[in-house]
Amino acid sequence: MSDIVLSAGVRSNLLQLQQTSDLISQTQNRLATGKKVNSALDNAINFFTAQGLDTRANNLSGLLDAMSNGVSTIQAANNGISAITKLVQAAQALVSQAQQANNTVTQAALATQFNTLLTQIGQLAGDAGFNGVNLLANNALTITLDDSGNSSIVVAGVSYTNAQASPLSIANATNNWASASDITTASTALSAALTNLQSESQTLSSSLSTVQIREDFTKSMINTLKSGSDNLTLADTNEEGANLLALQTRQQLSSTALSLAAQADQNVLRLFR
Amino acid sequence: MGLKVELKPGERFILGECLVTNGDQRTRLLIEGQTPILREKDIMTPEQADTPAKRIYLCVQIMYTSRDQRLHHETYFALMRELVQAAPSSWSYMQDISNHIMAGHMYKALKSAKSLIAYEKELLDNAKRNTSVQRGSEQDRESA
Repeated sequence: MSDIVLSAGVRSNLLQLQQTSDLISQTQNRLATGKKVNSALDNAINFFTAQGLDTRANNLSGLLDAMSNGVSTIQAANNGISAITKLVQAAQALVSQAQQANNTVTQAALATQFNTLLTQIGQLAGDAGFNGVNLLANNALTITLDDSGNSSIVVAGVSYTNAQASPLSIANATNNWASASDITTASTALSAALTNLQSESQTLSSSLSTVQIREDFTKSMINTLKSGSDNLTLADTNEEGANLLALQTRQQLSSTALSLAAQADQNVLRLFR
Repeated sequence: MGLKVELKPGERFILGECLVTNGDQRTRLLIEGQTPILREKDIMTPEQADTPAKRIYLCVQIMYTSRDQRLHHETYFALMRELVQAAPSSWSYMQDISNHIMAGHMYKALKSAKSLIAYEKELLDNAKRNTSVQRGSEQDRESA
């Protein structure tokens, strides 16, 4: 009774007015945010796709941080190996000096220096860590490569913190290097240690380049994901099909397609004609 | 665990950086190791790659068979951006491909690229069938 009765004409006008104001606010919202799709009510599929892209970009950023840390850890270990290599070379110099010296006093002094160097090698290795992971102190480094966590790289550590123990196995100077055989033993051990350091450095370098490739790829992936969620147009299959047809024609002369063809020519694929 | 390859007479395939051609009889090979392997039926030549998705397949294939795949990432992302701008719904496919590349599973990436081609064909066929209906509804949307 207190209700106002609306005629059919008024009702339809009112409805239209409401729809118009909805559209206005939607347009304003789009202008404000620069995005065509703002809420799940706008266009459900696109909204969730866009949201998914943002989430994924964030997940990938997390991965990227882990990769950068991994790269730093490997680099720290690699620097450690270079420094240890220098110390081993210095020890080699001591050995050749001792081989030339013909008096036991000098030899004993050199032997003491040699032992000090070995201690320094251990300390240096102990300081080669980054972010709590020290590959030279036998810690392993695991780097996750994709956000499902299915793929990862494990970089195994080595134990250089004790120069006397394996794998460096350089024993302390025995008998104050009084006899030639004592000095030869040290010399042989040093050569073996250098070989080991070299091969470890190669292993680290190859892990490093693998991680760096993935790191670069992930960076580009994040950028593309971010621009993708902003560029998301109304996903109408017909519209997309028409866009694809246009792109197909446009790409024929695009620089990207041309460089792709050039890359194929430099590849084994060129044999496949 | 090796890969078994069965070849028809004269069939070719790519093994690492070589092209291997079978002789005049059927051959069965067992290949072990990490080298890229591509059968003749999976190979896309630049001439065949005439749609956006096929170009992406070609690009992934080049990455798979090259020593330094990083050289091709730029092209890959350029192609990917173009495709996704034209057809945002292809995202999930691009995501699969990229994930596999990121994880270093290039063969799986190629397989995902193959499903992208199938999806693209669907869209293209659709567009060829009814472009006129679409144009009308798009105008309504724009005028609102």
